[in-house]
Amino acid sequence: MTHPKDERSMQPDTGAAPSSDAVPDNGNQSANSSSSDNHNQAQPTAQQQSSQGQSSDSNLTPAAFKPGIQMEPTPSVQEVLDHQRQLLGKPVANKLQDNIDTLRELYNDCSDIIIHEFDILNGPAAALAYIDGLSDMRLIDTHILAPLQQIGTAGSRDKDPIVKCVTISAMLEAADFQIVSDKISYGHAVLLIDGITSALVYDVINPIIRSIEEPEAETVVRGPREGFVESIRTNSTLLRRRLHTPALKMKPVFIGRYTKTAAVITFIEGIADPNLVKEMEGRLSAIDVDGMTDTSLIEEWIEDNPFSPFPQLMSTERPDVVTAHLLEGKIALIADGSPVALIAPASLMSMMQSPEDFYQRSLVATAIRWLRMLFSLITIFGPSFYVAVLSYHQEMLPTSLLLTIAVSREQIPFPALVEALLMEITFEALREAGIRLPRQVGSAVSIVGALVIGQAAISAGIVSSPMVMVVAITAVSSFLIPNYSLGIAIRFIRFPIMLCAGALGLYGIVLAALVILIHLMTLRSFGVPYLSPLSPMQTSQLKDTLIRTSSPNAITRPHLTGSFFNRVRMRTALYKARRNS
Amino acid sequence: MERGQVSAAQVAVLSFTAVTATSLLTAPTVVSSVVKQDVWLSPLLALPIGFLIVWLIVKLNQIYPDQTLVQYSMKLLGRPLGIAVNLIYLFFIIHTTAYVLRQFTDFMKLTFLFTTPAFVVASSMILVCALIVRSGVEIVVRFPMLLLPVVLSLILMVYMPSIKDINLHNFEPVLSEGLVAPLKGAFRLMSWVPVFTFMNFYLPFVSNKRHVLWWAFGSVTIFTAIVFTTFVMVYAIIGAATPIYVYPFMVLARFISLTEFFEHLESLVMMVWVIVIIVRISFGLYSASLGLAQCLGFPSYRPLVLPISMIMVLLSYWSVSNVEFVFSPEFIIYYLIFGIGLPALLLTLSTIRQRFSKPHNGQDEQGEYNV
Repeated sequence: MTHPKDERSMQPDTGAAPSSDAVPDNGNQSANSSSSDNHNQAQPTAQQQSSQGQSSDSNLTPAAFKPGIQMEPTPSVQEVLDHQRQLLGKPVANKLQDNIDTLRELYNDCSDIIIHEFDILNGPAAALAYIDGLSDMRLIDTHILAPLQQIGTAGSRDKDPIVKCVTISAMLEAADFQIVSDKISYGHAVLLIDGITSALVYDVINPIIRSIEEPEAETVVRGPREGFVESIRTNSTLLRRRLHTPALKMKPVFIGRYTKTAAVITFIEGIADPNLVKEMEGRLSAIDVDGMTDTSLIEEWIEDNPFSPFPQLMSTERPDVVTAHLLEGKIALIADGSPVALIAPASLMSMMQSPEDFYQRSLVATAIRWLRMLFSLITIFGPSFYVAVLSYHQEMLPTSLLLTIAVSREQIPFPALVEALLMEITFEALREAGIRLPRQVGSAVSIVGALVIGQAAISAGIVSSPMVMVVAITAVSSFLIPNYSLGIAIRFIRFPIMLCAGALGLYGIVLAALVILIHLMTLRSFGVPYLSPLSPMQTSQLKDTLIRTSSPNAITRPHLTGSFFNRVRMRTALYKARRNS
Repeated sequence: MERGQVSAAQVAVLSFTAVTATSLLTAPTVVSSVVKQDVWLSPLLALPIGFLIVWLIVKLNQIYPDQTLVQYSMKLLGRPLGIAVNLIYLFFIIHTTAYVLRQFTDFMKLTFLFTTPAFVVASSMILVCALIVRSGVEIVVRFPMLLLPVVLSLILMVYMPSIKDINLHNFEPVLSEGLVAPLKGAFRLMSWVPVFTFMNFYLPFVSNKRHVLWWAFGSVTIFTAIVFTTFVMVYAIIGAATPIYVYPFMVLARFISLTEFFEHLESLVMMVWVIVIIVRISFGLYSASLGLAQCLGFPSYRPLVLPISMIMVLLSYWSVSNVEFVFSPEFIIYYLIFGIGLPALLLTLSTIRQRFSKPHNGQDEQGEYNV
């Protein structure tokens, strides 16, 4: 059992939420901001205290309506927040008991905090504070408590002997309770010593991480099977294991007042446009919310057009996808607690690519890419085309086919539009139910689904068999789109197009398609047009859009935006020379 | 007022798509009714006029690189006269665009949507155009570029299966009535070619100005090539019956039968037609909105887009009594006055001014309005 422990002590950062070098600046920042907040609210507090009688009266009134229970007057929100701020703003005091009191007050009603008071052998009194479960008890026992209580400091009351005594490398000092509480809440152990005005923070985080598995939403037949997990440190390690270079930068950002979610902007220095990184930092710094539970919420805050159904940042669970995009000069954002990384800027065509494209032979991959585009067009226009042809343009169908359809539609009470809407909405409902229902019920849904969109529906005379076919083809083709959020967007814009088709026939479809096209043309993702290589046309980039060239031919990187553009990504002179000889 | 960077090639594609728009369907009838079997000569004869028009526009743009016709005409003609001329010119743009809208509405009413109110067809069309125009010059210009492959492939889908029906004997005898008839046909084509003048509203945004002239000539050439091909295809297949049909191109599509499955491809024609008409109307709508905003000194053209759209819908009913009216010589002269007359007048004026006021030239170049 000692082996893994040693390993961790050698790599103290593994599994630690904020890296020990990353946190101090941010800690200071947040401490500054909170102190400035304090400053701002000093005056209102004073006013409030002067009018405390009033406010307590107003707080009493709701209690007066419940005669049975005598409620204590609760403090106002402002008082609670001010109290917290005041405690957090306190510096670490010289006297140990004061510090312990502050900590106990900060963490009152927190049953999982452990404040362990002890005496250092031949040294001052000390207290160790950590959160039960979040910190690794074994590390604390063997590397902090054991040395301090058994070896001690040989009579000295200074900091240095104590620091030397503890055998954990990841240590930093904290001067105020803002940092101390941040660290404790992340799972660090804080050592408070009598007579020393800074707390020693030890990184003893006990990482509870799901094992690295293949992401279920993005599977490949050939290619790596790693997926991101919920721990940001594991995720950044996964990236670092693919990009062994100091040029891979990871800029820390902390989002959320209460969640204090650690997020990291990663990019490759020298390839990514620095202005892009600045833009991302700027947009992230504008987020001031209670909590950020997933990267999808961050996406909503930083995307260019929040009212568009189309995702403007690419999301992926695969480290190889992130690596490939980083190498193209894009930037990625990973956040703690979310296995999904965001990639910016993203274009529509890059979301139509599957990682599999790059692991299969280029010709085959090109063919599959075309298949995918064809079927996404079928997803969008399939049902509406059917409705338009049946309602307005029967002459387009060959006579034999028209007769077949007419026969099967003879019994159907609905017009084509209603029939199509009915079936498509039912399909969407079944799809949603299939995802949400517990696994045990899932098979039941698929059986019921097969009955609803299937033979039973036809024989009941509710829908015609061609309609079932159209719905089935649409359903299958919609899952060919590799990006899940794009797939949902595309599935849902079918419905307005179907209505247009029902109202104006093919003319309506063309108009609706053009409106969508115009919307896509005006969309931008971090300044890069959404239809990027197609409009505005960048001919050099078409080789990775309409086709997938083999790797030695993809000499240039895509140009995203701005003047910072590291164009050439490979030197092929030697390769070509060897080929020709 | 408006920022954006477009390339000369994009403006060229926009121009020829817009000008080709209505000519694809109605031009064969209009021209062949006077020219008969020499119909293919007319577009070639109209080519120099097209070159002259774009040369005038590009030349004026080279003198005033950041200004539209509306802006430099106010400077050359003086403010009161300039505004008056501009308003008439803008009315010309709105009127001709409204006429295109009317043609489109008629087409849809006659061929596909028999019972749908014409107002619905026209207004849904103009709303999409207004959406494009409000999105800015970059979208207006990039839109045809993006859809060009679609349009070309759909047109080819109509042409390619028809090749087997071509009968070149339809073109005999060549020039039996001399050059007068083809010239008359070329004159009738003048209800399309002057639309190239709308280009002046886009040229100030072009970033690679050096290539503009060649791209503009290329644009006219491609327009001529498309019209020429259409005339040849239509007349070679339908022959002397061409003037009878209102939309001979549709007849072509109706004839197609590919492996007995792909029949009645007129819906494809309709799709092409919708796309190119949208390009044509947004071409005119943007010009009119920007021009009016510059003429009246508005800070942005966007609030004017919807009112002008509404006026276009109204004008499309109100001003056009029947389709034939448009091919009368008066109407074509109306086109030519604004297509060639106004730019030529302005170019002459600016040349005279340059010659007589060399010292003040530097100050004159400063535009009154920032584009």
